[in-house]
Amino acid sequence: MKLKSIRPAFVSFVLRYRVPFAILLGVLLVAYPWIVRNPYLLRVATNVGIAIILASSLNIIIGFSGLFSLGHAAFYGIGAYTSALLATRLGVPFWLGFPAAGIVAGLFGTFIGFATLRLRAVFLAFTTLGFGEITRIVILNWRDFTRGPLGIAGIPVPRLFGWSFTREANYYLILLLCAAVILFVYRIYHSRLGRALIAIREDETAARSMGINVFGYKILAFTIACTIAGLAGSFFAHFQRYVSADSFVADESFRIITMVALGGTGSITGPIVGAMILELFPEVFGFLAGYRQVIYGAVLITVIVLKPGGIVGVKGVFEKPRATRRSWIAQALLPRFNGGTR
Amino acid sequence: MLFVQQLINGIAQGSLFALLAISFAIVYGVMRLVNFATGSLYMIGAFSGFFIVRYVVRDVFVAIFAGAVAGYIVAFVLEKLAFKALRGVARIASLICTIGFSVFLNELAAVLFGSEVKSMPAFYGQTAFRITGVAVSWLQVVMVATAATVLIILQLFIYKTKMGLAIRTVSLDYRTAALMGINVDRTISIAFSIAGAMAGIAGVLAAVYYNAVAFNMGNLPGLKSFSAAVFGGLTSIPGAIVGGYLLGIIENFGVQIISTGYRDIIGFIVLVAFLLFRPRGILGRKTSM
Amino acid sequence: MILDMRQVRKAFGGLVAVNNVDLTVQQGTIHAIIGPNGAGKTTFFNCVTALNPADSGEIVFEGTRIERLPTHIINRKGIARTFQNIRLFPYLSVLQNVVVGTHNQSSAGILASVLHTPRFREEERQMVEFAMSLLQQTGLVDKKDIYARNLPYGDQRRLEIARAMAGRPKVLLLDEPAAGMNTTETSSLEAFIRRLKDDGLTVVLIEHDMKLVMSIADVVSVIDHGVKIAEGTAETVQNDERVIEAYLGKRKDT
Repeated sequence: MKLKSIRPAFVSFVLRYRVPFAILLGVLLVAYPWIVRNPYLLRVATNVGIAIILASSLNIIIGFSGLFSLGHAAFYGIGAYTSALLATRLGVPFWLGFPAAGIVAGLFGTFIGFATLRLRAVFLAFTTLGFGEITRIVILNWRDFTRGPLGIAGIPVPRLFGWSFTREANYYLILLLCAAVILFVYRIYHSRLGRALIAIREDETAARSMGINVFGYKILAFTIACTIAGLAGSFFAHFQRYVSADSFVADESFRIITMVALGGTGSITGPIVGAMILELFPEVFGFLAGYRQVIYGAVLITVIVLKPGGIVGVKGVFEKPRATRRSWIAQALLPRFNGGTR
Repeated sequence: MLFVQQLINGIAQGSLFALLAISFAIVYGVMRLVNFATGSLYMIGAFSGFFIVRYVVRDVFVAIFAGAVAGYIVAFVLEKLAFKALRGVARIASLICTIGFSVFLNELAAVLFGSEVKSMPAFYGQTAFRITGVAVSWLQVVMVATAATVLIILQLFIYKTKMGLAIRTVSLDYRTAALMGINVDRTISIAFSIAGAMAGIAGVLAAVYYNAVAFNMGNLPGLKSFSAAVFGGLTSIPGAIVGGYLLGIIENFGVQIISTGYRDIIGFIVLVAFLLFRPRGILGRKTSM
Repeated sequence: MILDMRQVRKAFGGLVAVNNVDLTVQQGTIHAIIGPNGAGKTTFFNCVTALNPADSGEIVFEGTRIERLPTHIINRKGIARTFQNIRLFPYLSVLQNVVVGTHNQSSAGILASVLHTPRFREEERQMVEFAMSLLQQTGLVDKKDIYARNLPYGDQRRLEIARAMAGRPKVLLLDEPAAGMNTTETSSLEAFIRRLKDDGLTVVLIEHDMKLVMSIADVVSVIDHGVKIAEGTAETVQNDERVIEAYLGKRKDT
């Protein structure tokens, strides 16, 4: 007997035909390299995959547990540098560097969580933001170790039995990782751990009274998310074959938060949708040139004002009943909700 | 010599951080929201000052006034556009909106005014007086004096006017404030706009002090002064002022001790270390969130 | 005795909410705590569950001291509670609320959850089954899939009890369970609490509905201004001078 959760109507339509949908999607994803036959599009797809992993992992922190982390890119960066340094300095293969990157990023996560998660929620936000900056500046300045602003080049591609991963193989690798992370997050969500996190998000005092170790679960959630970000970083390093601090700045953290919030905080599909939108937006709207970012900002604000829980967000603390008096944006775009019609 | 020099630089820069930290503290006080668009309001203030000086009148004080007005108006519009609808919704939505506004305003400025750094005409370069042989420029005097004046006016406003009382009440508990007949929407709107004006003034001062204006000039000062605000307890205006000046001083001394490369994180490290021992900040009061 | 509190004291600033109270709860009884509003009854519950730990005094549960333990450990030891101002998980379904309550009954770790091991599935099945049986008992089965926040008030109170029961506690602390219920709901609540007692559970309840208290409580303690002023069976307490004084004011004043 499976625990039924409450879903919006259009999702249940997809779910009713989930087997054919899943098969179709699977076939399309596997056949993608042969459909597009274009290295650039393959590269875009791989970047989307990395973004999905980052957004899904951050969702464990923001969406499930209701905590603010503003430095997710730092853990991504720590993973990337760990793997890159191990590979270039010690010749460690990807298959060992990959778990090592996750562990190192996770340890940093545990440390930060341990120091701040007992305090008011805003301190985690502040500390993670600060940690992001610290990571970036240390990477730039510790030249003997990280080569500073030069970054690390010449990171070897993953190899297996003497065979090097390139283009298609990397695509399949990230496809596999993506599927694994999504399955992982989905199963966490529908498990004892996920329920405990959601209970903490909904009402910390009640959760504590139900025997849930609030501090412990918060640390656990934060550590898991940071570990996954570290793994994504390791893949990124070996895929790009070059890392530098520029890829892991505060803006990147904000971009990952935006993916989660735009797509749908707290849902499984939300961060996937958000990651795809944010990665593909610049590709599709390239012709807008300089105005691209301006429009991106405007779209982000509009979506959040009209639908604070995100495009496919779950109902919950993220989408409480609205105030009766709306903002200018809502008044302009939702005229039918004004006056007595509702 | 060097000690005094760094102290003076620290205090001058601290004035900028203090104004920005107050901006964070006011918004956090009434809305429990960290406004990441604060740096953008600072940039808008700087550009307003820049255009006034360049095309209208070459006067620092007019520029400062223009920066305050621009910050006030833009913040007012932002609040009306978005945050009003997000009251009662999870804070993450408002937080994302502030990030969205930050991107929007910065990039709009880049498109409209160009992405290159513009140089601001110099003011008050002459030495005002010397302390143990270290020259203090008139500009530094003007900066500290302006910040002090603004802070005094703000304190008078908060503690001596009816609107100030409303702002204090809303920051304690907005539900009770509403029951007491305070127009919470209007109070939040005004407080948010005043916070915008603070950031705008800081922006003009920064433009004059560094002789430079750029679309992304607000990013780093914004992040850093957020930590100054946290240091002061996040809801306390005196705390924010102390936090801002301390950050300025710590940063300038830290650069001497460590290295310039680490300049931007010295403040963070000191504050994180400090907060682990005193999570409420220096002057912050006890709040549940 | 299953729960023994000695000289428990809790002050908020200058206000002493609970002032050196002694209270002993016997195994398998229904123990009511009554008193005027603001007498310190809820604070007392908060001391026992460590949501607001006591400033001084001892709290002994089944022979071990618990006053320094964190809330979640106290729950795990077998003390569950409901809240006066209902604290359900508003955007979880009725069933999910109760399943969260089974937290201390389960042990699946991350790995088992992610790999869906047979043990994990068995545990999930048992938890849902147990939660369903509790919903059956509280009459909420038909509403299992709606959001907790959309339940009528009386149902929310019952759901809170079901959720607290999901942890298989030995002692159940009920904070005004009948508040906002109509007569029919109250009498079904009464029957429900009696059934809990018959199953061997110890119930401590704070309640203002005197009819309910008098009919089900084995022992009644009266608290006023943080001090215990009377204790005994419903009848003794009802006729106690000081109790009448606390509720109605001094005789000579009227």
